[in-house]
Amino acid sequence: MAVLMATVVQAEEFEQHGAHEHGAAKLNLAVDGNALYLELDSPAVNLLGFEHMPASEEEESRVHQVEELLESPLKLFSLPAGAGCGLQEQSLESRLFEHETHGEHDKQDDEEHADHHDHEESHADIHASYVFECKSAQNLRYVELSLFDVFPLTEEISAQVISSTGQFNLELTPESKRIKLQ
Amino acid sequence: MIYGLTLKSLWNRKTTVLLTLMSIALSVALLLGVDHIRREAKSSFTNTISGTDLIVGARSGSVQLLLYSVFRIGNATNNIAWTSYQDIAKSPQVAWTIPISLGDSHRGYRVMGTNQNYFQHFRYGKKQPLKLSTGVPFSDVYEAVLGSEVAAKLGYQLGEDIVIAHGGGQVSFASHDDKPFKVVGILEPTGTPVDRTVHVSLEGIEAIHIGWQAGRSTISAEDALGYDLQPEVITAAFVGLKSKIGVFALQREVNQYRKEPMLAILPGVALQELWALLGVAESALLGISAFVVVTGLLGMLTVIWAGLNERRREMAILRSVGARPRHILMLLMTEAGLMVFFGAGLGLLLLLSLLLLAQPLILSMTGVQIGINFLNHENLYILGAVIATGFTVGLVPALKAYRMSVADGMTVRI
Amino acid sequence: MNAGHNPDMPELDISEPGLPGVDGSGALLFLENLRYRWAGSSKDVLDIGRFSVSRGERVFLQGVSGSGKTTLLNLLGGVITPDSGVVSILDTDLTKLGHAARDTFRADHIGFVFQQFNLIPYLSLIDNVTLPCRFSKTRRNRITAKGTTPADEATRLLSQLGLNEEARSSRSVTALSVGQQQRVAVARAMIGSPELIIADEPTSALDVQARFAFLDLLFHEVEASNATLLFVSHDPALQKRFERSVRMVDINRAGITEEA
Repeated sequence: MAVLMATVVQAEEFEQHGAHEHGAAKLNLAVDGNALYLELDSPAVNLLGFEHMPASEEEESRVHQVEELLESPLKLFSLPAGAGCGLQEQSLESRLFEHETHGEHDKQDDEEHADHHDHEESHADIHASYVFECKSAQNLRYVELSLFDVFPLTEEISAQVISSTGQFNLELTPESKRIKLQ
Repeated sequence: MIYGLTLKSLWNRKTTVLLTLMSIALSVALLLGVDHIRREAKSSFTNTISGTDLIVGARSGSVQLLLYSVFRIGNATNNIAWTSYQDIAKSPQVAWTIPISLGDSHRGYRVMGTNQNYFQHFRYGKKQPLKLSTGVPFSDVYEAVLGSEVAAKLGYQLGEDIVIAHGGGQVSFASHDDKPFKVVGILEPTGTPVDRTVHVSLEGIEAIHIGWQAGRSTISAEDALGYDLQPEVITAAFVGLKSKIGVFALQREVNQYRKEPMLAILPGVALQELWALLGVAESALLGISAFVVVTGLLGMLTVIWAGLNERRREMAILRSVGARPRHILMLLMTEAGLMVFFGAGLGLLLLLSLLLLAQPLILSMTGVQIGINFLNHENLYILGAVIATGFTVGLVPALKAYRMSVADGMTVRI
Repeated sequence: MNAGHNPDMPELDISEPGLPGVDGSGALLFLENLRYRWAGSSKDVLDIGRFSVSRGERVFLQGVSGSGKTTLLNLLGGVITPDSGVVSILDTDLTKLGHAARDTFRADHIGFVFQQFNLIPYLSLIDNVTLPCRFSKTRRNRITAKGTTPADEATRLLSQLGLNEEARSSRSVTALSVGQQQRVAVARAMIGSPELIIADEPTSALDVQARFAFLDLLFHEVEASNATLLFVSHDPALQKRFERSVRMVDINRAGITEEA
């Protein structure tokens, strides 16, 4: 056990610097009753191909394109048709999108963002979250990440899942992109 | 017709065969035993906590937080402030919280300070609540509820006084003997670390530490009650949410808490991280066990192979009375097959008796409940693989004997 | 050498009056133009023009080791097949049969007795004797047709061969004397009444008196079951007890051996 503890204990700084690994993203998924919650955290480069503020018109339109894609989550997540899931809420956050207003930004979030600008001048993350309401949640057997096809720069997604079977995590790749929920 | 010969042939070399059987049996018992205990430990660990959405503690590793808060393994490096805990508890998404305070012990058993929520909301196994086998939950500062094993091992009854020691050691010279706790309840067995825990109120923990200086207390039990016994810090808290949907948001909120560094973990995910950590050692153990099985089978190969030359005459005789080379092959294959089969069977018996013997010991030493039924699908596959490998290994001397009997015919040329 | 064999060369007349004709009809055992050489060898080990044994005959085949008799026995048993020629037993040409059929034929029709260490050490006396019945349905059926069982038949044969109750109940065959072991081997060869008994130096491990006693027992058994006996030995002293005696060097034109 002593050896184990030694490897587990990691001195972390109070000020958290989120891990930022290109090609990798994080996904949180929770199911409760009829509700399905999905939350994606990805380095902007995975989705856009770049991370700096759009400089050219071309880059500007790419940002728009990605925003539109992120606003239609059923293109990113394939749900079983029988589950009858409909989007209830969504929110999109990134300093790259800050020229527009998005969903339910609260004050603290904005502060956080301002705060983090100093640290992450060269890196940008995109945070998207969605709540679905499923009419037949018993048919929600899986969620498949079609976003690997939509954003081919994304190579790996580490997911934390809370389903009726419990909490677990798993690594998803374009080859294995299905999260089994039952 | 050849099988009658096989048994007699094996019986003729019973000492060697028995030793071979033993080595196969031991190796099979080891392999299945390692695999079984690995699984049982996992399921025992998994059954330890259920229904808790988040565990909150001071910022450290998630596995470390899981180990000390749930399994009472290791110690917290830091506490969290009561006010921080209150912030979380008051969050609108939170259904319930269980604060816990660790650090003291009673005769080698951990003492945990908590509150009534523990008895109401803590779940283990398949969302089973804690039940008292006798007595009631504590309601007073100097009252304690014992885990089933603590009561059984130390022979405590309701109404007895116990003394809590400072620190977690088996033997402690700094005990809070001026402030004994009265046993008011004993929990039913759960097969989890709860059985090995002494539960008291947070106020009780606070009371015994008031005026605590240089290994002795300066304030009496009576006087301590006059102080504000609201704890300033706790070790960790179990959190249940109204909806699982809110778990990640609360987790982020806790992890980005501004006033002190805190960590919120999903216990199921942290367990998986623990398995990943242990996975290397686990695989190494399984690998070693598999090699031991191979060694046992190679031992069998050696025994059969070494006996081949002195059995050439026997094979020539069999040929002369009408045996075909195929019969010779089958004779030796059957010998190997029977040895592996009975070796594996003996291994199962051995493992069963070892488990029966070791089960109570493992439970009392580690709190891990090891089931006896080790014949799950995976183990049957392993067993099948061992027997198949044994047959394959047996094919080597059998083919050699086949070739020899074709070459020798009815007469042995040596 | 193949070239050395001239088919026009007059063959040694080894047949005696009253023996079967050239085609071998009526003979129990009939060999013709039999040639065999070991793989990789440039020289025949066996080259037999013609050799036959009639039904019920007791033939003494004299040959030293190296005269090709071991090869001949393996050919007769169907363990190996000749490069050319005919090996006919009971009017069946073994060379026309496959491996499995030859093994079955041997099990059904031939009983072997070897020099010594003839028995399987881990089997009881009775199990040793009944061993051929495990491999031959024909021999098993012959016993059941007599209304008895292999084990009973084995006991009968053993007592007929002079192995008393005490010897028969011996726990291990290796505890028996060599003479007793050879008699067990005879019982095994005889069980289920195969038509042909081939004995290869069965007496070489016995002392002189015992040899003749053994021969008497063997003859008696062979006669009782109407079997034919081919007795192979290097010991000329035994040949006078046989109706017919043949020397290996006389029938084997390969002539590979320098006699001792």
